[in-house]
Amino acid sequence: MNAYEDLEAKVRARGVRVEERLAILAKLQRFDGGEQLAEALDQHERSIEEAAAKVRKVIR
Amino acid sequence: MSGERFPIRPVLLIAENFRGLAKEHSLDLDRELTVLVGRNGAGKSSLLVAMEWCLFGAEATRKSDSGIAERGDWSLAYDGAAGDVRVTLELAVEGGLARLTRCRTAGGKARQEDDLLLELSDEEVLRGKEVQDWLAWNQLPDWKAWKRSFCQHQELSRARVTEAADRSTAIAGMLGLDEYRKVSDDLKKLKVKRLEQRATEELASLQGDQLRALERPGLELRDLENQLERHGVAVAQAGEAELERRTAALITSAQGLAGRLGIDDSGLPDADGPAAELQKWAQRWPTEVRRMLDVLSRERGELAGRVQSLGASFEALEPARRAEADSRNVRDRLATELGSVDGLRGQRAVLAEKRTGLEAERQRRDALGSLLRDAVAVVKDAQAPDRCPVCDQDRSDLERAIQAKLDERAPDSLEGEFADLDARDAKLQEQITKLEEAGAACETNQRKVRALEEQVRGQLPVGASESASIDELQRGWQEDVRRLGLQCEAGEAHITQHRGDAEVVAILAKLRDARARARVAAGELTETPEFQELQGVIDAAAGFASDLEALGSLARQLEDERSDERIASVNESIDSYFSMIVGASQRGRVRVQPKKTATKVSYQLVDERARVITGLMNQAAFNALSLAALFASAESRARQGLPQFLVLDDPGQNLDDAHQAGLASALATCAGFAPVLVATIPGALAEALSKADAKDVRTFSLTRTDDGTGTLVREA
Repeated sequence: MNAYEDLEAKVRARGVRVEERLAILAKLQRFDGGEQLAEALDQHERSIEEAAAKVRKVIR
Repeated sequence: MSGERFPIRPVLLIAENFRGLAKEHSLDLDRELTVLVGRNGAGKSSLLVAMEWCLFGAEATRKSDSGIAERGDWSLAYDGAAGDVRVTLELAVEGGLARLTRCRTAGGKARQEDDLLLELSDEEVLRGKEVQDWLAWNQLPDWKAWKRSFCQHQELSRARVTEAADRSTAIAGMLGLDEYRKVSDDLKKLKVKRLEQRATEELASLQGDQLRALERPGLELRDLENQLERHGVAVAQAGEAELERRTAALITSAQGLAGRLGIDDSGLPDADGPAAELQKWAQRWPTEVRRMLDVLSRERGELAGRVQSLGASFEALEPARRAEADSRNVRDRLATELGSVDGLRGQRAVLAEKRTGLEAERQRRDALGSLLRDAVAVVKDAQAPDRCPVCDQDRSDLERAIQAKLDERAPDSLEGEFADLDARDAKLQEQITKLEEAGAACETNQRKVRALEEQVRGQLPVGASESASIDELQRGWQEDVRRLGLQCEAGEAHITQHRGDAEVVAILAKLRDARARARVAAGELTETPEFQELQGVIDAAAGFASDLEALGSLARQLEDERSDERIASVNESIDSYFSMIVGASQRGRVRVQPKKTATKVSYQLVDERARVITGLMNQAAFNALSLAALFASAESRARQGLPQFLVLDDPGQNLDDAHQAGLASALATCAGFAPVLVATIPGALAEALSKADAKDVRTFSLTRTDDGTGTLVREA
């Protein structure tokens, strides 16, 4: 059992938001982790900025 | 990354022109333990480094990449060698052999890319990057891992136990926890706190905007209401219903005008359509109408010009016709009174003949008169003044008779006839002139009438005959001109009205939005769909961050758990090798101690009282501990089925004979797990190795050639 399989088993055992975490793990395994997750992180940040801009438009 | 793998190991090394090795030298490595024994300068280190250069190239030989300062000045080629530098490492792989060859052409620079070639047993040949990918795929070490777990350099002999990062990574490797550390590192690098910070900043910024917005609505609303009142719309009236009514009226009015002017109304907006679209149309519409009005205006101008021109031509025609008739009457009357021009010219010809006759008579009389005057002169000049010398008549009688004849035939007697003839001719000429002038005037008037008629015909519509009523035609045209004028006026009035109405609609729309913003600013912001969306995005980001943190935490926890499971065996391994080298009395002194923080797990080597062991050791013990960690790491990797072999360059430094004997035992033990290549000078270690309890050992003796230009490699 490698680290990813080990983590996967651990996530399953925890049973909280399993699918999402498994998806992240899958990315970690498939894409060697870092870059894909960094892109996902950037996307979340951009989404926050875009949604905030919409709210700002309502206020102004 | 999972599954059983064949443990790749080196079986043959061939070096040519590499550093201290002139020409080609080969070294059979197909043993558990290979020992190179030679004095200083015999070429031992060159052979060991040749293997490193073959595997890692410039990374192993440049100062900046290798991390070994003294390699910065290295010259790869044997001093004086004319050929290429070439090193081949033959590896035993699953199913056969693989030959890895690195070559630098003669005279090649350090920064030049080396030729890298891998020949596989199935005759497949890989080059350059393909070779590096193959090495990585087969889990052969990179340069950092090599330094940490595959070799012992004199320059770096203790870094694996003194450098915290190297030590922790090496021990994590021994524990089989490299992957956990990588996962943990990947997650740690992501800095998920950034999301929380961004969300906090945006919410704070929005709160500030909302506070500022709270101050604005009152002023904005009053301004818009004042604008509406200036347009005659009461504040109480200014609501959604009024906006809808005026919007509908605006479009209905535009539809009406479009119908009147023949404009395509398919582009008109829907009264229920988006406000932004309506606003754009309302601004654009006057321009469209203006463009159409310009066309109509031009058409009207052209038509009015035609009416005017036709009227002018038609008005000029009647007087011209009258003048033509008058001139024709005058010409006809004169012809009746005077006859024709030809008749008069005939009469003039008769008069001219008469005048010619008179001219002849006058000439005859003039000749006779001249003769008579000559005769008188003769008479007067006669010798006998009283008598005619010719006829002898009395001279006075003769003179009288001649004078009478002269008087009788004097030219003046014809002057009256000449005058009469000239008077009659002048009268005839006058009559002719009158007739000709009357004729010419008649013709001029006729041409003028024809030209005007032609002009009128040219202005008539195609197919209309001159016989048609010009008045009727003009009336029709004038009606068209009037109609076009009315359309233009209506269009202009519409534009003016539209601009006013559109402005009111725009103000009403702004007022509606401003009232909505005022309500939002007053506290309904969080109820808006936009804020709900933001909240959802922030929740998703928080979930993502939470997941990552949880995964990172799990990875660390797993590393911790697995560390606990495996640490005993690693402790046993290090302690065993350490005690082999330094003596059984030191057994039980060395152990690995994990140090856990919220973000990482690091490892320290401590003694039996949990003190950092490196701070308590002498030089020999320090070297022994470094070697013990190296052997334990190699054993661990080998037990995990990973490729592993050890290359040690004079590992016996600072060790006394007993310790060197212990080191020989440790090497023999480690060689049972992973192939070992060790170089040493003749002495205690070499001797101990020759007696060591290794099953599969081969020793080579390295010596300089007699001429001192090369190395002799002989099996001892």
